[in-house]
Amino acid sequence: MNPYAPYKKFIEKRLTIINKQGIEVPFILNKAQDYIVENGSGRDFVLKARQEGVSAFELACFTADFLMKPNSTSVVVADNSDNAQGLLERVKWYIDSYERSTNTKVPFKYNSKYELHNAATNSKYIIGTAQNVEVGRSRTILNCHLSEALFYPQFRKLLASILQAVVPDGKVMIESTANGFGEGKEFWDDTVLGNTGFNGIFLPASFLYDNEFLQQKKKELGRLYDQEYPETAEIAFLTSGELYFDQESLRELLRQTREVMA
Amino acid sequence: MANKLTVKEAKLVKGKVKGLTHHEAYVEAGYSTGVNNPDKVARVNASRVLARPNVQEALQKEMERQGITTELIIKPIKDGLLAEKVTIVGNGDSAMAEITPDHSIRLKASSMAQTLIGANKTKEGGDTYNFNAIINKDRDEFGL
Repeated sequence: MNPYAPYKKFIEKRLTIINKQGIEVPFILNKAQDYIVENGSGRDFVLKARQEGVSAFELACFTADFLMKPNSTSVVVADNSDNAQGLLERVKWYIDSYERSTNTKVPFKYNSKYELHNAATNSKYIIGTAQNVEVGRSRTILNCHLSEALFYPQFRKLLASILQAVVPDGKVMIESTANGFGEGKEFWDDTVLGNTGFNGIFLPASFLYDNEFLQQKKKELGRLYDQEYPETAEIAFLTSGELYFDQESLRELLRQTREVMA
Repeated sequence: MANKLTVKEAKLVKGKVKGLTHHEAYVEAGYSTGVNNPDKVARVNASRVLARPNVQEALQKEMERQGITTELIIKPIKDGLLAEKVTIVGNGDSAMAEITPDHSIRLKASSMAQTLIGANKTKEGGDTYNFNAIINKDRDEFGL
């Protein structure tokens, strides 16, 4: 059974989000989030376009475990402290919406800037930043989410460190938009080849956004458009970061490549 | 209509009505506590089982059957809220009994009364008992 399947019903019934118009609405999964519910393995590397709601979904799943799974530890790593704070605020919103939905209060043992502790289940929710590559090393982790992982200064080192702490049936999600060529791109390529133990999921921009929206973004972003709203993983990596070769020429060459004949 | 009780649930209810602790009632009902920290396992799991709606309903019925009514449960709290103490002042023939409020007992009773009516819930502290009952229900409903 897909590890994310039980969470969908919980999220849609119990949690709310603020939509892009600033209104609180029930958290009904979007197409990208539903795709993860159907195709996630529990060890996933999700490469994506901007604002597809992958972190929002994963944080909600971890919130369910924080509320209900005894002795669980969920760790979320952000690329910088501002984003870490943003993620924690989102988690607190989910907890608040759960409390309102069920007319209860979560008995926090503590509720600090980077860590929440549920006194009833002895579960912890920890938010760290990629600046601390030792995050989670001395813990036993049930869930781990690496947000915008390809922007970490030492992505592979942090991943290696944190994977040692995750329990065998724990959930790990690496999630990011592309960030040029480098160890993150190598890890994605190895994942696609089946060499990392992670399941590669690419969520193209057209998966969630309609053509009209994307055309508008194309006008606004110019050459940055393909980085923010890519249609293929190759384009995503090719157009992100600073390149020595001309992007259009590289893209054309990429179009002309052929699969190797067996 | 709540579900029927399992044999173990029914035994746990009987144990609690007899006045056993969570640990004693849990073990006597035939539940396993494991070897690591059996006391804590028994207490936590007993709380979870007791929070189930069908068990709550059975517990209430059994208590009523034994004559343990809500009035009877509340009465000691009411008495506690009005508790007084006698202090002997002076000595010999001039000794006098002085009756004053027993604030220690009254505060304990007040705290119990507040818990009963849910007035001492706080944002940070929450209400563990109520929370446990709700998450147990959600675990079953959502299969988490």
